[in-house]
Amino acid sequence: MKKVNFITTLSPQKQYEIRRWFWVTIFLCISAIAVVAYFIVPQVCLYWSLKKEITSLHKKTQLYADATKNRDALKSEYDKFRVRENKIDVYTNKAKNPHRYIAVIMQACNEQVKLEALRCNKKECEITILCPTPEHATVFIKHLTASDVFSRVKMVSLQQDGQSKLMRCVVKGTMITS
Amino acid sequence: MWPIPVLEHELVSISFFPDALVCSWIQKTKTGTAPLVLRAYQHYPLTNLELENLIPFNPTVIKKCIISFLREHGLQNAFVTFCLCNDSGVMEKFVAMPISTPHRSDFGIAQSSNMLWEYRYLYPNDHGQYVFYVYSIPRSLILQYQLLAVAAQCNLITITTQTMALLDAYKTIFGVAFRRSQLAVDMMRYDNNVEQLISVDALRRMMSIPAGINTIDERLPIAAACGLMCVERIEE
Repeated sequence: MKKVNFITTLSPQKQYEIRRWFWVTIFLCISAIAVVAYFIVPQVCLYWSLKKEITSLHKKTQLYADATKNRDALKSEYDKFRVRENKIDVYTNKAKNPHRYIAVIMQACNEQVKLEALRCNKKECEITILCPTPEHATVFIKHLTASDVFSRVKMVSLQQDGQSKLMRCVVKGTMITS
Repeated sequence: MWPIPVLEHELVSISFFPDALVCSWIQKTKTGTAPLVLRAYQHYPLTNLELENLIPFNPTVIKKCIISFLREHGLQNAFVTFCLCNDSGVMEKFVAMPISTPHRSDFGIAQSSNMLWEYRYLYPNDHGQYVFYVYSIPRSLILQYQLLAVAAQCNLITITTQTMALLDAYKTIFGVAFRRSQLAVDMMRYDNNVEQLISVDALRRMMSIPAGINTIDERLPIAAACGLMCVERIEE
């Protein structure tokens, strides 16, 4: 005999099926997520680490580009300086370079002694200074005599300057060439 | 909110009588002598016209009875079947037809959108005719019982008649030995009175009934509940 039912409802079998379907679907979804995560997560982690590394390298590369630019600029500047320095060195190390003589003269001058004129003719040189007292001129001559670049230093004239109270002293000496 | 309701592998049968509401909880068992056991049974008298002509005039009281039974035994998630007894609310009759596969129009019942009617073949009689069980019920009544089930928050799966439940119980008692010819003999013996088909002894062989229940008085609702339990395939 066929069952009599006035209403159309979900039979217990259908309800059990729905419940089974629900749990199986949940289980399959979780399994699928777990499996996908098992394969995807390491790649995602790798991706993130690579992205991080790329970002840091980008930052470093940007600094490196600036540094490279600076380095190029500094290098060109350095080269220019080297050329100049070489020129200066060549000039400084020349045998006829009067630099060391002038340096000794300038060292012999102090705040009160002023160099007014310097005239060189081959090995002979004539130095004109302005000093307040004759003692200053004497000290100046002693300094030059004590140095190893001048010899036979002697005072040629010492006279009062007309316009100021200083004394003009003319010193002659012989430059020693190495 | 949990997306799927909890299911309980239990069936609660609720029989509606003009003067009473009967709730019963039957389980299948493998330990006792009978295959079924009546776990709980409650007879709620409705003497104040709560249920007249199967129309629930006081659904609140009926709902409270149902809810109290379900709560008392922790069966809120059980499957529930409603069984409507023979009353003026449900029209039932046994019709003899000359053919075994009649058309709906052969029964001579006017089609109406307000009424739900159907027929079931029962047995061939001695006159070479075929007896059918024909029932009809107002759709408004079905709706009221559905609303009652919604109000009581129970998982209603079936609304059927007591006659059909008793016939199912009869078939279950005979099991594989059920024959329509035997049903014909029994039905003709009792003049198509289905209520006489199932005896107390047959019921006791089918179901273990607690000693506190008067089986003679409560035979019909218990037999109907037995039939509903057997016709529904509930997982154990």
